[in-house]
Amino acid sequence: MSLSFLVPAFLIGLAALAVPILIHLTRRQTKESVDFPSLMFVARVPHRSTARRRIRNWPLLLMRCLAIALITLAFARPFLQREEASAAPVLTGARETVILLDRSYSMSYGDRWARAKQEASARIESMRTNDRVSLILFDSRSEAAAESSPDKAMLRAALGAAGPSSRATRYSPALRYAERLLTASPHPRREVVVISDFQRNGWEKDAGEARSIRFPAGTVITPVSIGNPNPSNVVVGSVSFTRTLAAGRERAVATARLVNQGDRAQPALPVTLEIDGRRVDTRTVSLDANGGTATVEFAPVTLTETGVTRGVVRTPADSLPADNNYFFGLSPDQRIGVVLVDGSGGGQGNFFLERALSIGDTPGFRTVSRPEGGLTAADLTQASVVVLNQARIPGGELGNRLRTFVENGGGVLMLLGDSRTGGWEGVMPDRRGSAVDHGDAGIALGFIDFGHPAFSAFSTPRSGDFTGARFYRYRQLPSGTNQRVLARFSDGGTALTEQPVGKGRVMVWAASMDADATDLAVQPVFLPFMHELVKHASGYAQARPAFTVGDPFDPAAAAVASQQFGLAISPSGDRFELDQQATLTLDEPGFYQLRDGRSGAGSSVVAVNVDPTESNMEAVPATEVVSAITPRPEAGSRSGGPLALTLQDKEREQSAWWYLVVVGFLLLAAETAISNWRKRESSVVSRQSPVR
Amino acid sequence: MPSYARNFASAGFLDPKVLGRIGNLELLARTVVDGFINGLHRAPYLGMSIDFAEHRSYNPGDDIRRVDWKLYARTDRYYVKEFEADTNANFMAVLDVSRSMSYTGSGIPKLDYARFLAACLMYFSREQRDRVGLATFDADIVDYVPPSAKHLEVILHTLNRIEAAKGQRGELAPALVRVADRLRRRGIIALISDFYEEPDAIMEAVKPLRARGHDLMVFHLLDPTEIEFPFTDATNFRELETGERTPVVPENMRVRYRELVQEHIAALTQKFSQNRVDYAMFNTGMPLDYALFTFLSARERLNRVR
Repeated sequence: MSLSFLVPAFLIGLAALAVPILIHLTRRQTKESVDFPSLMFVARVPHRSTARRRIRNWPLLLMRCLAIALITLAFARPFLQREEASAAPVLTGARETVILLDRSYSMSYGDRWARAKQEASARIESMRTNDRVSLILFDSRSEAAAESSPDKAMLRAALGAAGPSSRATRYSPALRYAERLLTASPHPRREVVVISDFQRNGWEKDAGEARSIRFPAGTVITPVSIGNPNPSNVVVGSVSFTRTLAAGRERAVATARLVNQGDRAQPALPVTLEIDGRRVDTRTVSLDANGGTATVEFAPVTLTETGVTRGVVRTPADSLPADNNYFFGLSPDQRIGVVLVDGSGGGQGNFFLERALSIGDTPGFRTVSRPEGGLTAADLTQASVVVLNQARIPGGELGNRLRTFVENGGGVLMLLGDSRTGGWEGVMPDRRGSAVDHGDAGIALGFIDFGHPAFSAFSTPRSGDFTGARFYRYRQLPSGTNQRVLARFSDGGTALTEQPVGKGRVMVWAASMDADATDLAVQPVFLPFMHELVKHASGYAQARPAFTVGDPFDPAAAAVASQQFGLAISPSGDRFELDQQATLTLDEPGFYQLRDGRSGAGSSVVAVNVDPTESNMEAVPATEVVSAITPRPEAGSRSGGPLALTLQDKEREQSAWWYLVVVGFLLLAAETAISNWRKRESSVVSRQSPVR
Repeated sequence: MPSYARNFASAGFLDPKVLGRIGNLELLARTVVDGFINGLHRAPYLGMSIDFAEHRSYNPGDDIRRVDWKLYARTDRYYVKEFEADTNANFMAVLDVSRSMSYTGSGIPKLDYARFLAACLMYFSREQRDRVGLATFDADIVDYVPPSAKHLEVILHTLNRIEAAKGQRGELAPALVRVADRLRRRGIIALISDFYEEPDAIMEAVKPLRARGHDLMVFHLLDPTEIEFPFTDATNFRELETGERTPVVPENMRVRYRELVQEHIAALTQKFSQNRVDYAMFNTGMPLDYALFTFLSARERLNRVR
């Protein structure tokens, strides 16, 4: 049991103890002099000065000092700490050890992993009877290879099976895991052994969260740094691509950015571009030491018309080979397929649409025009968006296919104009809205939801002016459930709605896009508006040429039209069944093959690279990590267990300050009384005022 | 209350502190003086008083020179003029009001005691038909009331408002010279002071009064603490008159101090006695009436011897 203080800063007030002592020592010199009629006789008496700094009233002094000390202690809010809450490390008894073994890919540098395993093995071998050891492997995640085990053989096996991963470093998940294990441990001695290269990048991302971790009181944090003093490492940091169309074929120019993280310059480093397993270009670059960077632009590569073009940018393998390769997969032709169904009766219904969608390449649009009734199921497999320009919704089997197309992520854009859409089973009822004619004056758009992705590009000033467009006729859109109104006319009529259907969406534009019912098509904003509208309706998302280890991968997003992938094969050959409702976590650098779940035919790949930030070998001092996570006394008592009281609770429960204050003031009162009594008794000289 | 004060109080004497509560000096003086007034005092001169008191009818045997003839002319009856006193002595109280007299030890302030003493002497003398006057001094005369049979009220009023001189150091010699210069007629002088001067200097100071034939009574006032020096705490002592400070360790000095005070008193007693001056040391802790009675009785006895 020990005495603790809730607000120890108030103990500074104990310095006030000097006040009564000084007063006792100096009182006689500062005291008011005694008046005496004449010093005639006093001056004649020879005398020796006695020791003036002698304390005479010891009881009074002690009472005053004690009163001040008690009141000061009361302000510091003292309370008694039981032994179980002691912050001091316990030196005897069974020990609970948690070994946090860094297995991020930087640990595969040189012999780091071997040394790390040796350190972990040494901790395991030093176990005594009743000791328990947990082996936590961590990178950006934490995984218990062995949890609170007294079995050395099992621990050895778990350590032997462990290997470095391809992920980056994060400390907080592992520390949090250790905190949970140690908090639940009944053993009196607790230790956390952190075996890591203590990369600064990993720590700085996690320092804030790591500081919030509260290990039980008395936990010993032992850092084991296995970093190298002067690591050398060249990283292919990133590769960007520029696509061009040449003679109907799509070409891409890859530009790689390289970084030298080592302290030795690389005057002539060969950098190779491989496409589909063939070396197509090699360039030589010069890299300065300590963060020197260089950019390499390779020769254009013609992409395959079907399937994904796989590429790798390589540098010669060094001590950390994981970051010497950059994998990427370039999908062919990322243009959005659009089927324009013209129901305007042979007019120029699709004219403006076709012209607008034929321009632009980010992304480009591949349009196919069909007359009303000419839409086929084959069109749906090649398209992402179906535009029903004043055309009725196809019925029957085609209608069902169109609904399935939308539910799988496709989009339907209905331009009503003068037509009536009719009902769409399972999507929208037949809502017979009447036509609204505003004559030659027309109306404008009165409300636009610029927060919607279709309009967000126009939200900033001078980014597109819709006010100049006039609308002469439109068809009323009765409001329906599950619809979001994106724009309204100035008379309050609905101009554009969006209705999600499955993964796709149905968008309805109440007017047409020809020159009869509106002059929007001749406004400058028409082209970008149509691009944005169709792009949003298609659910377009730019294909990523590469992922980073640890990223989630959505199989549905990789589906091409109605084709879905049911199987993924990792670079190391592991096979994963893909669930369209779930995501796959990418754990290895290289190419993941995506295959049709039933036929098993290969049809796509996903490129995955290691996190380039892990390549930076700069280390943070282990002491900084330890000091941040070493339990402080107040933190220790807080995590002493579910029933442990907080310091405030303990202090409030004991309320010792109240008694100290009372005793302190009683002492002061007693001191006053005794002082006055002594004064009266000791001083024969009564200093009364004149009695008149 | 000191033990001697308790003893006197139980014996029926008046405690100075009790007297101090009486605001009216005349009442105080009467309280003190009544009871021993008769037959103590004898005037130094024989003769007629000039202060008219009353008329009374002529009786055979009366000196016909005392018949008021003007009254006889108006009333056709013989009346004899009676005068205020049958002595014509001047009684002068000379009171030290220097800063040292303001000292308050264990009893009342010395100045208050001196004030009461002077008032009692005045009242007593007035009852004896003497003319009474008052002079207060520090280094010079502060208040001066010439002797007169009608000045008792003025004197008591003056006594009532006197204060210890502020910052003035008392000096007997110059003050007494000036008092002597003002008193041209011989009389009785009561000198009241604490006499914090060398005995020889004091004797030199009173010489002018003696030389002019005044009957001098000296009252030496000391507070009990000035005699006993009962202090315990070592501290600084500040002299009231000069403000001078000196560290004092009473325990070490008490014995020697008492000896010096007693030597001083003894020296004064001897020197005044040699010069035929009545000297009395009044402890302000002693009852005023007791001290006064003791002193006046002794003086009466001495005068008879002289």
